Amino acid sequence: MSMSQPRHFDNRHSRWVARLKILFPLIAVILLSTMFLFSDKRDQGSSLPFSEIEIDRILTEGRVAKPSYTGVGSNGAAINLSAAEAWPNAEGPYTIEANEIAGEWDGVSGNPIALTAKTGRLLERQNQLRLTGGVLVRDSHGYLIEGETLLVDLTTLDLTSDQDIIGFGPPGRIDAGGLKVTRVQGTPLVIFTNGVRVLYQPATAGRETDK
Amino acid sequence: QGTGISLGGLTQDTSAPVEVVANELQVNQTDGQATFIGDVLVTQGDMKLSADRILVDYATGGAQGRIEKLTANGSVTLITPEEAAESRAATYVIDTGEVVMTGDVLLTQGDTALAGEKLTINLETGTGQMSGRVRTVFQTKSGQ
Repeated sequence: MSMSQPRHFDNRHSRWVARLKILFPLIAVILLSTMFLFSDKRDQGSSLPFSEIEIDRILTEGRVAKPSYTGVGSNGAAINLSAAEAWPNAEGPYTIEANEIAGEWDGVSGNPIALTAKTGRLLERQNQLRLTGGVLVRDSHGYLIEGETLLVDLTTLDLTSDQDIIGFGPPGRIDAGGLKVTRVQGTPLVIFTNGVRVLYQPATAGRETDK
Repeated sequence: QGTGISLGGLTQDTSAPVEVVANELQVNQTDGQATFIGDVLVTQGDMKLSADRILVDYATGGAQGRIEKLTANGSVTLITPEEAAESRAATYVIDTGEVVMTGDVLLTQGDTALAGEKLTINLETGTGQMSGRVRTVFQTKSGQ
């Protein structure tokens, strides 16, 4: 069987085989290169959670004092949070733990909403920051909301809690099955969700309540 | 011109607690407007007011937290011990106990029903006035 490939084939089959031997690898190369173009979803939308340098410091030094996180959401909201300390979670390279979280969610129009929580876990894979432990959300219209967890979607920067929350505000005490802080057509909204109950006491309303 | 009506011995204490239940409460962060949305039910004493949406207006200037008025929209119904009234919209000023229902108003008292464009009720005194093309509607036995 001669090693060198004869250039001309007498039948259509061999000619096709020769052409495909060139075509298929070419297609493979093209496919491979475009695949890399689309594969990295991570840094679309919000800026990288924790700036580049912070992540390296957290991952190398293990613990970082006073880290801060800022981000702009796809619906226009902005957030900046700081913590007492942050450290990489042993389980996964993409999980960062932090404690004593405090910061603001800014819906752009209207005043920012203050957030505090005891602990935070940044799950970069799910593009989510989970705040837990004595979560407090306070807006500028006299509403104070207490809950156990608050999820920050790092792409839209919507805040959601699907657990019961207790709120205190101008109408009185608010019990609800969940909370959502988001922007709808440019308007920032705090929404008590999953069923709401408010008890308004006309007799005492308006007097300085302790809250 | 309007038809005076009396509500069966209703004397509402307007300082009684008001409970509001709904699917959602939305607080607009730009202007602070609070809106209850979805199966909203307001209960105060013997009175129940339900609607699709209820906006809460606070007393301006006065001590923060005093509700001045509730504005209900969308399949509004007002239930009192002996009456039921429906309309498209309604407002309820809590301090004065005044409810004003507007838009295809139908007030049912026992067998008789009164239809009109506007019904004003004072929950404290138990009196009211229907106005705007007022007509009495007799419930046929088959109607509820």
